[in-house]
Amino acid sequence: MKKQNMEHTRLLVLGLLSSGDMYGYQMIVELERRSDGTFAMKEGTLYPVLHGLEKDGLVDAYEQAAPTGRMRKYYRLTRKGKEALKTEAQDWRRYAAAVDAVLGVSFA
Amino acid sequence: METIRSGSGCSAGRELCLKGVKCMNRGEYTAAVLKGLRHVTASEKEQIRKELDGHMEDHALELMERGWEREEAEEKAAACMGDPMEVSKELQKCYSYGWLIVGRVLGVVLVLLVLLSVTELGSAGYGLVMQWQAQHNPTKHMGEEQRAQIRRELDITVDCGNSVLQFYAVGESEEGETTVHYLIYNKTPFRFVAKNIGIRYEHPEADEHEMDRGGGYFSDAWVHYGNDDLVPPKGAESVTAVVTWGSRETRVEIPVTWEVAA
Repeated sequence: MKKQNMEHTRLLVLGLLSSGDMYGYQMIVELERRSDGTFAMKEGTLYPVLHGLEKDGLVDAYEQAAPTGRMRKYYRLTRKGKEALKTEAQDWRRYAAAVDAVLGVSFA
Repeated sequence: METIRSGSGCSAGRELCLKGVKCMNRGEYTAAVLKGLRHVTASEKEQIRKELDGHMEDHALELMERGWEREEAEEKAAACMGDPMEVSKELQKCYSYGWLIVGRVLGVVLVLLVLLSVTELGSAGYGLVMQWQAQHNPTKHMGEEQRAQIRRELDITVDCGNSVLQFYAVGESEEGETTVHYLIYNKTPFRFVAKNIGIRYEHPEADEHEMDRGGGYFSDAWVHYGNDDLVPPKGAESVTAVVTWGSRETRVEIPVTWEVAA
């Protein structure tokens, strides 16, 4: 079985950002909404993931004022991040299909 | 437009506090995360603090819109963040100790280089002024008292390679001796004077009046000023100064008479 190259949370965050720039809390809410509550996470652990992606050049960040006037840090995919997402998503689909195939055989 | 319609479904909340887990407010939570971070710059810490605090503020505001009290909403938001030590430990992995050290070392080196450049430039600039002054206004460095003792200005120069020895004045000391004033400068800007130049005087009382070898002459100097006190032979109009530069000798006559003011 092929080992996943990227941690799932990193892949999920890249996937979220492919639909637009987001700030941290927005990502948490979106992740829960899109996964129908399956991917609920301890919210603070999102930031090590984001900072790691930023360090690796897969995302970058900018600040924009929130309605309250406070500056929010928004994250966006870089070109390198888009390429990584494309590759990892393909690998994931292949992996998921393989799991499905095995489960399909076992539980048919 | 905000796209968030439903809040985080984090199940942690004030009920956790009631079970003995310490409830934190936003400030306490960020402080706990930052406390666990090592080798992170103050600026990076501030960025992390602002971001985590902003996250909890977003969460708490949303809860308040749904009717929560501020204090409870903030405690719930902090509880939903998870264990601060775990967040701290994971964040730490994103901040490389090595680069921090390299960055700080480079910063220190840069500051030292800038300081060195400023000091060197300042010193070189000062040297240039000193060299110009030696050639155009040699008595400027003197005090009022010393200048008042000058009886005759001279312009007798002896080439000593790149350096020039100039006898620029004779004066009268308080003891009635004749004082010969000289200076040495380098013709090349930003270069120090040569250190192998000497002077002796050819007359009976001259032995003890060789060039002043004390003071700063053997240190690097932009301009060296010196003076020798002589007792010229009675009736002599000049004394012979022998300037030595390495193995070479040059003889020059230094006038030791001057007009007495009426």
